[in-house]
Amino acid sequence: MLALVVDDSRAMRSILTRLLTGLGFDVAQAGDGAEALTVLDAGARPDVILVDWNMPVMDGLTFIKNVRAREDLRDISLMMVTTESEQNQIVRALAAGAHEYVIKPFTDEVIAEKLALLGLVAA
Amino acid sequence: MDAIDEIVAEFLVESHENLDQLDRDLLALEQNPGSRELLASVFRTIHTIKGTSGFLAFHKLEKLTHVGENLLSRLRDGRIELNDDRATSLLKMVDAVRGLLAAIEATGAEGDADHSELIATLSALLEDGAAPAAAPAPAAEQPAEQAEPAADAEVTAQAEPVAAAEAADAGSTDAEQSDVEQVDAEQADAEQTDAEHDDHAAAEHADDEAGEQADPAVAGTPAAQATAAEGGGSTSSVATATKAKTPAAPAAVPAQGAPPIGEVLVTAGAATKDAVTVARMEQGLGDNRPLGSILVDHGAVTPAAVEHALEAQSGHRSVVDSSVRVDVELLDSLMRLVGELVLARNQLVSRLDDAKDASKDSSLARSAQRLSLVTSELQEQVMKTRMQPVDSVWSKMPRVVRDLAKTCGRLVRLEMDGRETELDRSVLEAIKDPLTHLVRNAVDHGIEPPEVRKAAGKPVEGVLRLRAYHEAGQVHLEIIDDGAGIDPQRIAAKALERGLISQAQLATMTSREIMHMIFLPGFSTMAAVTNVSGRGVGMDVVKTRIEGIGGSVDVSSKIGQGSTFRLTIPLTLAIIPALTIGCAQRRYAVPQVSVLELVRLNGEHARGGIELISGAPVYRLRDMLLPLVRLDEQLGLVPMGAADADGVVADESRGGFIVVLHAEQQRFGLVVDDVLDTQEIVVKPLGRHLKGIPVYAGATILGDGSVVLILDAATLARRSNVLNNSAGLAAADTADEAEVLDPVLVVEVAGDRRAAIPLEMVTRLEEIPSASIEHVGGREVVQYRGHIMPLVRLSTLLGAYGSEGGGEGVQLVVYTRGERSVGFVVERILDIASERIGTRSDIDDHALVGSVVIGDKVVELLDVESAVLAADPNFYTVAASADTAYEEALA
Repeated sequence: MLALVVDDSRAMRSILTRLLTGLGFDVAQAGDGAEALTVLDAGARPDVILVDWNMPVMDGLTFIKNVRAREDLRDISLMMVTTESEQNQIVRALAAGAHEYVIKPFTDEVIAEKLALLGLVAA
Repeated sequence: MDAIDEIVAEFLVESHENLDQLDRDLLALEQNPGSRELLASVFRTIHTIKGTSGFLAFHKLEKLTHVGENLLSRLRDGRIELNDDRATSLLKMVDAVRGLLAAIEATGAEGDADHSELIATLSALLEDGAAPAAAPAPAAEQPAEQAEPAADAEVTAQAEPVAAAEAADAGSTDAEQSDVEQVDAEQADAEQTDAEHDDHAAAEHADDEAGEQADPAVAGTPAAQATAAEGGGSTSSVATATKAKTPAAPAAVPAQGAPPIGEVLVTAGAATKDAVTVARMEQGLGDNRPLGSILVDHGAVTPAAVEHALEAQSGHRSVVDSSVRVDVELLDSLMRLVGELVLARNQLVSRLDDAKDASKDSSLARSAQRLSLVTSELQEQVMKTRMQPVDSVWSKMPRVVRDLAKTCGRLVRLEMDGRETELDRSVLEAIKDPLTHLVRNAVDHGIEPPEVRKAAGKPVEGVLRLRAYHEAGQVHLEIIDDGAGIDPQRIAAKALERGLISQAQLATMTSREIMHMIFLPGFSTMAAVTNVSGRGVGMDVVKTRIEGIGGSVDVSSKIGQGSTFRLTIPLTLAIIPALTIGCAQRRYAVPQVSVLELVRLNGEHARGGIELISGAPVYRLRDMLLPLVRLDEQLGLVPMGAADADGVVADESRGGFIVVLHAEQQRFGLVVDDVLDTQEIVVKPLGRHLKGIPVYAGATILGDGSVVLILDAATLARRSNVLNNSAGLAAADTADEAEVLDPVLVVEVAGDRRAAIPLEMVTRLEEIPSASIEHVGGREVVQYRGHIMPLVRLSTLLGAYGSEGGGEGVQLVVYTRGERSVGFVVERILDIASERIGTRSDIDDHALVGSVVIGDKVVELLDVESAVLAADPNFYTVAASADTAYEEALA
């Protein structure tokens, strides 16, 4: 199982990487949407991408739209992990094609639960 | 260190980096308040800190950044304008965040600092634009701004029910995985709902305790809440349904930023560019296999090559991976060890030199040579790791200048040249405070208030320029302002008033020396002590600090035009090239940076060539008089005054060397017995009991294990009084009678007539053969340094009897401005003396300023400018054409 963590904060990437490694994932990282697309272009096919919203160069929403627009990436689950907590923001993210939405700060359990919903870890 | 600690550490480092960027962005924003890009960057930084701090349970930090984020998001979306108050509060928030981070770093907890006031201010600033009706008071200053959002709020209120309904639509549309286009269209409406949410939230603020800001979502419409829950639920079920496992996730996880596989293959020569392009197109047409498999299918590459490329790809190091963070203490200790290694190397080399004849072990010598080379390289590389751009100190300056300019009511534009100039970090550390002080001073005392500037006809905005550049192994830092300048008379008056100098001392001082008095302890020119600077505790500390690291400070100023402070700083403090000299059977080291040249005294140039002028020893070096300091006397190794009064040096036959040094932008010669060697020395600080002797800058251990002291050129010069009295000629005994002006060159014109030429007007003294004088259009010229130089015979000009140059040679005093020169023909060069006020008498003659008494003779003081014009009327006005005219005439 491979997860790609896309967040501009190193600390946040570390937090998610630690969590996901604990759940049995291999973890790749990217600092923004554009970098994540490069990783995907290089042939990586993660099972799930956890993506932040506010990032430089390419934000999470744009990234999700980009991924969704590509046929070859359609099997990848997308999880928005962000502090944006307003309903309409959540709606926007889901409209763009995110499968799951997690509001920071989250607990390990919330992430595990969402991953279980995506069928990636045992419930 | 457990995982959480590691993450906290990461968070701290990251946040500090981001905050530095944020400071710069906020200041840039003030210049360019509309920049969405900058606002987005600032917003992101705070957003990131908020996100992570919530995680790590730093609740104060979270609360503070949350309010800041709200303000910033409004600014970013253009709903409120960035004004002074908002910028100031945001900067304060950054400071508070820094404080919290520092507390976390030190103690692991946020400490008990109270930010409720700041949070209240930030909240108020948030509201005065967004919901003026709810919080009218703080917005009183910006009536225009107030009116506009009020209208906005109304519109939003009307749109509310519609927006909520449409947002609901958006949610369900998405759940059915419908047309993305349509969703985008809906988003505009969703955004409007967003605006409306904020207004709700803002309205709540007014009633709420400022710090207790409720999550805006809570204040949102119930309809939107319900929809979101519904939309979210259905989406996730869709997602679960459509989710299928990727059949073949690559085994190797490519590092971030790795080049695409196609590129790797092409670079490796395994596939052609065309083949890759074709495969890419197929991917574009819906073939969702990896590029590598398509290529293999096409027979364009072998499977092995793809595998190989994948390996290469995953092994690719991005920039992120190729740098590591190292504790500076580690670098410091590395540097210390390299220092020791250099010492050991020097010792080994010197042993080998000694043993050369006794045991010719060439293989040992070769090893030693290799060791020596490697050590030098290692030293260089370690030094490089410690180099940091001066920007790391400068980046704090825009904020300092901004805050101070605000406090003092100045308009200041800060310009910085040479940000990338690198310095050893220990040096950077040492110059940080002095530099800050000078910058503060320039804003507070240098640059005038706008109305004063306007009255003086200057642009109201003052310019403060920071310059940094490398030159001759040193770094020069300049702090230049275009302010009022420093008035030497006020400095003199202040120094007298403070009792720092006596009237008699003042009389002997040059304007340069007077300026330098601002560096005296307890000196302050400001009448009123402000809370910024002007406490008189700064400048002397600046000087002490800079000199403490082997640098120097200089100041120059023009009244009404501004001041320039110039810091000259060594690149590094730890290891420096130095010249070892011998004097009275002892050895000393002189830092190479202050050595200009070496002059050997032997034969006719032996110590007899040293002359005494007014009791001060000088040496005629290429026709320039060089004031001398005798090291043995200065250090008390021999009694003072080993030379007697009429200029005959007692130990005339003794050879020796003059080490020509420069200190504080002036030259002087250090008379020593022997020049031994140049080598890299490791500077060791002096012991406590020797610290009080300023002549020594430190100590080092030479290759043979002996300890030698390092001499400080500037202190030597100052102690022996050779600076500022150009050839050491200020006669102290008569100094209290009159003010000494700049020194003059005394020449014999013809017969017995003498003239004095201000020394600052003299570029060089030359002797040319009479035969080389040519005549062009009734004027005399010579070819001089590739140019045609017109000559002026002072005898003719001054109407003296007889003429110069009866012999083979002609003595010239050369005056140069820019590319152009004029030569004054004189009979003989006699002396350098000091002209004194009170002995002048006015003579109404076109080429003379007046006459002065020097020694016991009356000497006419030449008006150089009119003399120059006599030779070349266009000298000051026409740039090069006159010169060309002469050249054409000669051709």
